Amino acid sequence: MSLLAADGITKRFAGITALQGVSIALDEGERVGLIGPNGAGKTTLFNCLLGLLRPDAGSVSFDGRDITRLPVYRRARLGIGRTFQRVELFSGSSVRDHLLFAHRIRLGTGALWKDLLGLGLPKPAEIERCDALLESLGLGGMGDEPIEALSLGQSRLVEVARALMTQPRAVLLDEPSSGLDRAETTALADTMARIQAEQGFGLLLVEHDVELVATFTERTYVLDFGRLITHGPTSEVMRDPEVRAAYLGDFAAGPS
Amino acid sequence: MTTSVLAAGVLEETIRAFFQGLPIGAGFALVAMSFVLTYKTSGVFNLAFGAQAFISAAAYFELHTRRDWPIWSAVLVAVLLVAPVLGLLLERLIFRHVHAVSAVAKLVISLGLMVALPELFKLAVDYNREQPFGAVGIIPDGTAVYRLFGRYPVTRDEIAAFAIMVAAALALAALFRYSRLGLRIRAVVQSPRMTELNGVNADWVSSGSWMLSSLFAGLAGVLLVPTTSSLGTVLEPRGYFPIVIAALAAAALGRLVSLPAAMFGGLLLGVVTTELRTHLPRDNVILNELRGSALPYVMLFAIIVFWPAIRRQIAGSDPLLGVAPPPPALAAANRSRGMTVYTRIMALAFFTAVGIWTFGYANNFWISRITHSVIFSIIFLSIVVFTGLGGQIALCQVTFAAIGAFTAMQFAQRWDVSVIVGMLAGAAIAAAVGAALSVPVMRLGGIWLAIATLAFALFFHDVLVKYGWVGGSLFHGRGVPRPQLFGVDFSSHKNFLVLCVAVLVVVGVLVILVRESSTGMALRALRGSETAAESIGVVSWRSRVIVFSVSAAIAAIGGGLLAMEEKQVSYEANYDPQIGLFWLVVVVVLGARTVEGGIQAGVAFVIFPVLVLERWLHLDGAWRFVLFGFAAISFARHPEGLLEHGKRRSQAAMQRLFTRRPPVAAAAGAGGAAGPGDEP
Amino acid sequence: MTDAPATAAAEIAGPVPLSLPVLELRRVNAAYGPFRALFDVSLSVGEGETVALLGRNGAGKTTVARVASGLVEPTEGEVMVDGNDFTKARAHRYAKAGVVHVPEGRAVFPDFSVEENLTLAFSRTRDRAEVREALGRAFELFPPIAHRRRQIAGTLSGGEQRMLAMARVLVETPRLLIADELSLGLAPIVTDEVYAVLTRIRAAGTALLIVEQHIGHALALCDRAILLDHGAITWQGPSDEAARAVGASLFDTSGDSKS
Repeated sequence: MSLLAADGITKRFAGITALQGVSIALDEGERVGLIGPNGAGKTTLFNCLLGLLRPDAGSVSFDGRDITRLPVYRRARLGIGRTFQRVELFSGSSVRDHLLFAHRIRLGTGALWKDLLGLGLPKPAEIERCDALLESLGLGGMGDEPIEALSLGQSRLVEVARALMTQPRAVLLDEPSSGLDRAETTALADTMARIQAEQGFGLLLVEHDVELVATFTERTYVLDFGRLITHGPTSEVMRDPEVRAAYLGDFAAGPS
Repeated sequence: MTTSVLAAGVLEETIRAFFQGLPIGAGFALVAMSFVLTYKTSGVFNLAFGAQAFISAAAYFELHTRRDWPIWSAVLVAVLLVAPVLGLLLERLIFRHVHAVSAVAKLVISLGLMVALPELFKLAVDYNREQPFGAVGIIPDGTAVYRLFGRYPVTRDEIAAFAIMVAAALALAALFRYSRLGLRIRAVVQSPRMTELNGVNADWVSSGSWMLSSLFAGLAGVLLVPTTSSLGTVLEPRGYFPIVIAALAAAALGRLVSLPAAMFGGLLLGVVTTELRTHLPRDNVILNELRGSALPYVMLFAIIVFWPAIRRQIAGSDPLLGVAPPPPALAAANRSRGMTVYTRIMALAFFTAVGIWTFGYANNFWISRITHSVIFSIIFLSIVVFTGLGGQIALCQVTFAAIGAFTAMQFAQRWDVSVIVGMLAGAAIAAAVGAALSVPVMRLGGIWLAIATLAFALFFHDVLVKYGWVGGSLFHGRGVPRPQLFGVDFSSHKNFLVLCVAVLVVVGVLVILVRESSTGMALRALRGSETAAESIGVVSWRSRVIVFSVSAAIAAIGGGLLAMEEKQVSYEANYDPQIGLFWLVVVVVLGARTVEGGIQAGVAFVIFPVLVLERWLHLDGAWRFVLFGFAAISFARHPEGLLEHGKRRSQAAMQRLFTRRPPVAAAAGAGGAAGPGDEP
Repeated sequence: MTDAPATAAAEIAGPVPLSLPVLELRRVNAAYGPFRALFDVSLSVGEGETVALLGRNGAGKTTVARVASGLVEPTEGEVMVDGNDFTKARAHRYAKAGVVHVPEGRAVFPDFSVEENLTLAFSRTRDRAEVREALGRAFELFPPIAHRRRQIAGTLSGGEQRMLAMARVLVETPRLLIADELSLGLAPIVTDEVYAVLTRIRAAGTALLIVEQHIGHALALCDRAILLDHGAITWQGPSDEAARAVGASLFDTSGDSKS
């Protein structure tokens, strides 16, 4: 049984079929890629998995439970973490605050009466925990920095850290390489790979950077025109002429 | 026999009400179309159209009735000159420069204008008569009565109002359909950037549509001059409120984007209003209220909460939406540690000095002013909590303050219970009312939340206060005693001031605790990015309901204290919804983000008009509305507040002076970074 | 592999054109908020020249197109049109100067009829006869939309909308046409039709800057190609050499580019 699975997802927007019967699955502890040219339906599928969109047909399940109708925050509480293509951070908060928020919400211990009695202030143990995670992501010592002072690469790491603080079992990365240069992308990928190996969550990478997917994932799904055109071990997928054609057009299956 | 006679009578009344409703509806429709037009072309929900309608109406009245200009020239100036020029100025000087800010920030600006414009006009033309007598419509002999179909009486004014509205709507439709400007306005509505790609300057088009919508608002104002129904008169700054609210309701029917829906909605609401007024039974107390001014508020609230279209997100169809960076969050600014220390030192020095002066030298007048400042600081902390922490705008804090005041009064008068107990009970009631109110509207957020809370505030003001169980009976008066607590008598000025300061300290500490704890964290996360907050499991509406209740309770405590200070509930002077709008404006101008900002606003609200305007500058106190109203424009650029902004600059300057090291620029950065927009 | 990424774009920009280029970007940087999209991009398009802008999704192609038509203002660098500084100019001035842009996706006014979409773009005169003539020219280029004059654009098929988007910028003969992802989501036959029109426009002397992810059509049409990766130009040269460079950059996973 898969950890996170989409089964026969179909989604239409005003008559245009963005996804047509797409099924994918992610297991605990594995790294899976989802690629496809611009407009292939990657983002739509991603949003269906997270609950931002409701599919017209098909179902989404998590750990054997049907979550097709659950709202975003319920899925988050079940253990689905994510990052954003356009970095979404809490402006006006420090780096550590991002982690603290996530931690508190995961525990669900916040209550107004505790706050009013002064019991809701950050505790040393919590702060230590946040700093330890920052340290392991290479952001050690940056806890007090305002989020606006970070580079884009660091911001992405904060997003990852925020997702990890909710102790997710599945992490979905939405185009983490966009806006980063080659070196930053590699550094981010290396850090992610290490953390994933340590913590053992399932990781779904939606990317347009084919190279990143090739080096980072074990299995890959390829979408084009809203359909799954192939899937399998990443190295095989990358050799598939159909995949090359999807990216380059009919002209370019040639150069090898 | 009798039943058929009765039925015929009912039918006749219905038809008569229909014909009386149309001209009123025409006014609603014109203002509603103004709302829609500017909302579509510039994303501004311009509440100030009510003020603009008032200005045109008052200009017409001033010119024709007071200065004896002929009607045609007064109309020409008021409608065809004043209105469009005002619209052009607003667009050119203000709204063009705030394109990228959030809809809520634009709403704050329009609130500021709504407060400032009428006062500015009144000061400029010395227009301060309370009851404008002798107002006549724009048609000569307008009160002459005709009988439609030989039986239904309508005045010439009413016929004219309806005919002009229809003509204006047809002209607008023709303009949109056939003219180049119309085509371009429609293009800008769909996508300003695509329009630019076609070689059209979108800014010019935007100016054109602002002039057009202001013209409509002005026309509505002038047409409504002779309408002195129970809706009030457009000739008083407050009188146009119900008209604005009804127009809002009409515009809301079309989700703020459909012009035809706004027009028919306006007409429909005009007719419904008069029909209900005719047919509702007069013996039922509650239904009877609907006959009066309550109707527009109830309709607006009901439409916002129940109209399904509003729940649906207005999906952006602009294919180039990704081009612009997202608007910065409502209040995106962090304080450095140095800044906090610096502020504390300055505050300590300031409060010590004020304390020594107050308890050593001040006379009763100044002690009372300072007590007022402290109390308003408490009330304004409720705005700090909801707007500063929650990032949302609510316009009914004044109502919660009134609930606190009336509860304290009722407890003391009816059951002879301590006013302190009454005040705390008031806080509990306000929190409950806040929670009940916020559950349906909090999911909407943004401008809808602001409008719904305004509707509630006006409903309370015009309806609920009149009930004995709310506002007390006039027979007993609205007296409130000063409290006694633990054997200490707080009835003297100084003792009561000490009590108020103690309450302020307690409330301030609680606000800081909430801000720094779980609730505050969830709110900060939501304010930074709602999508991201939900992705880690925050339930947005639940957090907002909680904070709204907390804010309501704080406002009620402040309201209760205010009543004790004044020894009565001076409802009209202190708890009027229009004053409430001004509260919000003052707080966001001076700093809604911090407890200190709330205190600054409290001091400024009370002391500034007395000390600076009247004593030093010898100006009319009404200038405060103008000054703060226009200062609200700064909110777009400095959401942390002007004083906070100034302090930051001065602290940065000090730091440069002493360390010669560039201070860390805590840039008020954009909330979420925009992607390259390659992915649709 | 063999093509080392060229860093100094000027070295390989080809022969210096005799007249001023229609469009020139000089060391342009662009950003969306804190998100940097372009790093020191320099390129020029001469009179009547055709250039393909290639690169994978997210490489910054669309941003180049947006900078080149005034939709995005560069944070650093300059944009010149016919030798005049257009860096701070807004999009409507570019359009007036004959630099037109067909954005990616459904770049039409969805609530307008086909005819209104075209009329809006033809702003030079109000003379009805002239407007009719200009519309006639546009319809002649795209027969499929000619008999849908009164249909609402939002209800057209994807291919027809793309044709309308192109027809809109062609009512007045442009100097430089910037087209972003024309083939995106289109059936191959429709793509062929659209590119056939581009060939005609090119023959009429209009310069082209074609942004494409599917490189086949673009390379067949253009003289020159520019390859972008992570917001910077990594290769430029004649079209016939481009295919190898692109194939290498997209699917080379042997690791030598991972530096």
